[in-house]
Amino acid sequence: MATEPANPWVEDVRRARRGDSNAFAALVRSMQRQVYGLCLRLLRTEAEAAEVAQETFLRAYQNLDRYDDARPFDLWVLTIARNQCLDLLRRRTKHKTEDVEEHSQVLPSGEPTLEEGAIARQERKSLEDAMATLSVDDREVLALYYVHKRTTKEIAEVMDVAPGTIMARLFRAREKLRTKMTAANGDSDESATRNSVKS
Amino acid sequence: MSDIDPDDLNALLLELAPNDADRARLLEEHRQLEKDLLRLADPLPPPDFLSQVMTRVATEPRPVSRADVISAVAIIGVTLSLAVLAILASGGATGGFGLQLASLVVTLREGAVAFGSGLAAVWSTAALPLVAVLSVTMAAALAAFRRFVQPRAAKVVS
Repeated sequence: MATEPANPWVEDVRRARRGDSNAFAALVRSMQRQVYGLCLRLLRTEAEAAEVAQETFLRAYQNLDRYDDARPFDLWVLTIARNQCLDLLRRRTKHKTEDVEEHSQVLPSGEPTLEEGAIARQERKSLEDAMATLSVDDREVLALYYVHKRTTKEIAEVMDVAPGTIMARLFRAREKLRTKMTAANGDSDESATRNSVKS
Repeated sequence: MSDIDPDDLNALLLELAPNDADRARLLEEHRQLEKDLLRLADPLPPPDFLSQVMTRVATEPRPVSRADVISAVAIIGVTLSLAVLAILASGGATGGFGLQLASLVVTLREGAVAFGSGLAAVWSTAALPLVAVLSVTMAAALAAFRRFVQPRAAKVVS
């Protein structure tokens, strides 16, 4: 069975450092979904997520000489993206934006297969809605672990925390999500019962 | 459930559920939630995302790296040190340096005057061909230099 190289981006990074724009474009292409996805989950607006993701890649390009080849390139870029998002969120607390789009409307959840159908999509939408109500830290740890399939060590590196704390953070975030989901399901059950009683 | 340490998991569960039945139910709900979470996927970025990134990369050049600055400072430092060493080795005394500097200025002045006279002589004999040859040479050199130093990133990838 063919195994993936440990650092598949090394050659592209080397070429990008020498000014090869095609190599850098290849790096962007391989990571754009992850970076944009993380930004969207943290910022929750498409326009801001796209802007910050672009800024992230620009920063990465401008600081390629400072990138340590021993580290995974994708984690380095994700760390830049995270810091950019947190900076924006800090600024946002001062200037509340008015045009907040619900990110759950635009977040697709896996590729729906034929047998999954509308019910599964609805369940995932509920999950995204509940996730969107969590704190930034909780959304981040859940996204990195479950959506990006990162290890706890990698998440700790991106979030700049001790690796030993990640599983507990995950558990707590999941518990908050479970509580939100239970509450949301309870509300929808109640309204369904009320509607059936009325009719 | 994930790869959490069993002791840690028990401690976390104990915070939330006092008895075994509640803990088992909670654990099962978390397992189900994990399954659902694992099905989530990242959204696709806008279709023009890549081209926009590359446009910005092309228009906002990379700042001078720290390595380049260190190299430049090292080169200047070594050059100055060698120059000082050469002066000390040739004249020894600093008084001699003043004389050498004055002599150099005089020599340079004489050289500049001689070069000007030479140019005037060449100009008066073959002005037009000389201008043409110099212009072509200068243009070619500039074009080659620009091609050499211009970062390839300046080309926008669409």
